[in-house]
Amino acid sequence: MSVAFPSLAFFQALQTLMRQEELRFRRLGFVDTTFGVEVLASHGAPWRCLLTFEVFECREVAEVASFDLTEIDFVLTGDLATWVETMQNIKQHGGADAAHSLNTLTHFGERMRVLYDDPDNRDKLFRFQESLQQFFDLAGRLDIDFPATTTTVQLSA
Amino acid sequence: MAFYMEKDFFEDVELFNLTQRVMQGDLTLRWFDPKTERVCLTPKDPARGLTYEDCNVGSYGYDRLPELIRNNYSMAPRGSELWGKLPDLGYTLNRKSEVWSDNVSVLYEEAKTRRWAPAVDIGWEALAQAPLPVPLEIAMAQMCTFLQECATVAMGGASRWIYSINQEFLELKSYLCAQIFDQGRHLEALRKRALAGGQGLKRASVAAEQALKELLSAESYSEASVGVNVLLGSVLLSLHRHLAAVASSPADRRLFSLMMQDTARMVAYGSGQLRYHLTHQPHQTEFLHDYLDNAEHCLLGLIGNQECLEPLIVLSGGGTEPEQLRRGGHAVQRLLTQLVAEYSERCERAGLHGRSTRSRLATFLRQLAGE
Repeated sequence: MSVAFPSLAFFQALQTLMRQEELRFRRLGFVDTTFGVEVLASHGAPWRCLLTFEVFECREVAEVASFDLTEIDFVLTGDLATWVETMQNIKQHGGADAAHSLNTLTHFGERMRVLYDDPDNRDKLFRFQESLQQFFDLAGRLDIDFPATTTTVQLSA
Repeated sequence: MAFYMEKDFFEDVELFNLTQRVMQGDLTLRWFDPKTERVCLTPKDPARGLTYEDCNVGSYGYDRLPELIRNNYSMAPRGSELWGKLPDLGYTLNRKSEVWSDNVSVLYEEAKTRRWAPAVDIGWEALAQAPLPVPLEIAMAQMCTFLQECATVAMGGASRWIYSINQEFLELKSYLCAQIFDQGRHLEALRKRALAGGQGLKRASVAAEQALKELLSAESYSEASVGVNVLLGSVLLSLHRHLAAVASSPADRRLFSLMMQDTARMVAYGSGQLRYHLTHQPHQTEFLHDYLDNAEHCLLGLIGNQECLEPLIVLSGGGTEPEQLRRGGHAVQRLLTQLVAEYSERCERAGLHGRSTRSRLATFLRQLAGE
């Protein structure tokens, strides 16, 4: 069964896969962070989702209307084309390649930006990098429906 | 030997007789009902297990630590019954706001569960099967040499002070042990990376080592912590993130991604310690500003030395062709600007207000860029 991206069902599917991969994520260690994912559309309102990770799993996924940066650690924000390209890259390689890792995409804030209030909370993106990357890499196992306007996105790698 | 106790146990007749009586079943049981708090703890979250946070209760907890430790200079664990003539171990850091950070127990538990092993967690075989082009491998070997010099000081910064910290701050001392182990792991991983790539180690850096020595030689703990954990930590965190982003092989990407996680904890402790210190001792703000006014040139020594800057440009641009060097130089310029901005932001948020404008770093970088 396919899931649409972006959607709550997509992130719930990643949450389920993470639980099924408990041993793998347990090996990566505690991951304690709450952060937002923001997908900016060229037309219409952004799509926003809040992810809460505790101990070894993603405990909560919720679609939200807005973020309060003083209450969460950070927000990963990028346009729809970048997010779709990233997910397609993960599907193609079974995990993000170097050009599409969260670290590379956010490094200079060109393709994705990290929004935050407190830099100490933003730094949790770096403290839990491997767990968060492998969480997103689970998308490689999903059958994803992308928005029609973005299905011809050129992969840069 | 610097310390001799008052009596020689070989000559202690009282102890000899007492031990004989106890061995024959005549126990004193003085330890059986001591004046300590009885507790029975269970994990708040079974998935996480029993953590130091769960143990933060009553007389055993760190929340009850006083600002000044006046009653225990020995090795007796916090919460145990103190009696008799316990030895004074000569701790010189006995004030909570000199050393503490509210995140130490979290960082300690995190460091243990997020441990990794360079021997098996890096794809050494894949690296051997798909070696980097020679110029990139030479540059990587040089970066690994330079980063080992940095890791030595990140390790030494913690180990230099750990014994001087009162045992009452046991969660902090445990965290510093984890930081020492993290940096020991970095030494191991970087050395293995350089030796596995076909080049071996390259050239030590005089400028970087002089700068590192200055940071390591700070006179107070608060200066040492902001210098090593925040200043050096910010440099290393930026470098690890950058090297993961420009990595030409999955093995290198994973290596620097894992190192990034460890270094981010070091920065988190440094920022937390600075925040706690200035919250409780706001008069120290000017002293630390003054320290950084003098110490921040070390950052330039670290990143401006040829043994770091040049291989970084080669790795960032993907080679040594003129266009690659131009692209690499541009990327490194952006990296340095971002590094200084993030470092200044951490200082500001932790309580060193005005650091961004007072620091000469941003102006220096703009001048370097010809702006």
